[in-house]
Amino acid sequence: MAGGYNEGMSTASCPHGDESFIVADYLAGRLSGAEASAFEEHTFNCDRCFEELQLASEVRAADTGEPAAARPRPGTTWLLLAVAATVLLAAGLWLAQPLFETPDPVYRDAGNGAGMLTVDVTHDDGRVILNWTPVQGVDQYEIRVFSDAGDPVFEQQSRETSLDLPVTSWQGSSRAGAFYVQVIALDDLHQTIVQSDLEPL
Amino acid sequence: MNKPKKHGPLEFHDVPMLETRFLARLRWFATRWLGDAQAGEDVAQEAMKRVVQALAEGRVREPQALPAFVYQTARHVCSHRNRTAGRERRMLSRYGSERLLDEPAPDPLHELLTDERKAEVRGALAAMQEEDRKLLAALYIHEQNPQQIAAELQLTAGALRTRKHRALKRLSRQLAASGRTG
Repeated sequence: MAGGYNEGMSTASCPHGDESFIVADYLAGRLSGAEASAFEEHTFNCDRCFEELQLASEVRAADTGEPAAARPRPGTTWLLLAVAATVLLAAGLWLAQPLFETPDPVYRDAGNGAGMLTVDVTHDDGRVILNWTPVQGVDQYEIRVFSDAGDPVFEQQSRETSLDLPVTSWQGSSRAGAFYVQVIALDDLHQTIVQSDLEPL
Repeated sequence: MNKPKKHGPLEFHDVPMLETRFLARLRWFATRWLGDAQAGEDVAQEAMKRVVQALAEGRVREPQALPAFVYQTARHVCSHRNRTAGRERRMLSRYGSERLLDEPAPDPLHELLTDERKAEVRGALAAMQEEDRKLLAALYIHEQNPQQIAAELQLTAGALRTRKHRALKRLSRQLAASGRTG
């Protein structure tokens, strides 16, 4: 990195300034899809932000197991320590677990406004109609039907949030038993944003 | 009165300049998007080829539009790659997802660094003050929320940002120093 972090670079066009957490938020997946895309595009024109991304990546790659929790400064009162200890005890592993989660290497929007994807299955005179909750940042939905053996028997992509399933296309075959449907929300890179549970048909 | 200046096609023959400016970015983001360093390298090279071609054909006239054009080209190449090869990959990943739940996937971006560079970074981090090292680890490795870190360190958000900025600067200088002596 010629020049080193933030030395000799043009900073006039960077809206994030020296003292932003946007790189940490981006790497942790805390930005929405639109925010992440805007930041990515920005880094193609901002040496400072890209260099921070690279440095952060290098810190991650060189991880030697530094403890996650920041330590209180010397001089912290015993009362504060006692309160902190009580909170930690009460939270237990629930608090500790997220500190050590493995980051998802692929950009996704799940957990940042995408929300849950739930599918409602309605039967109407032999027809099977699916309706699902819209997902923020979606490019298209993929609808998959599986047999109870786990074999895919039907797949279709749609930009709508409902589908009249052509049940006869697989029920006319020799397959028997139960079938399950799953809807997957995909972004424009065909990455999964969020997917529904398997719902019985 | 001066005539308005007409923009001609951007220079396209300075491929080394384009590579210096964009190739590392293309490689980094394509690897992150695709989750695979080799695929990221392929996409970076393909996107660079398309950018050079677009410049040669005069399709990018405004210099300030070039970074966004490079970014969008990379997104397009990634998207196309996923659309053509994605079905099989998604099926495989989906069927394998239960098995993988217990096995954290390695970060493909780590493959972009040589072992020598990783050792340099470890050395630079070891030479830093513990306070700086822990802050960088909390932010970038453990992905702790900055508000949470600030609360734990009893700092204002502004003070934490300043401390992070200084820690990064020190790390960068340590790395530069180790590069000179290594």
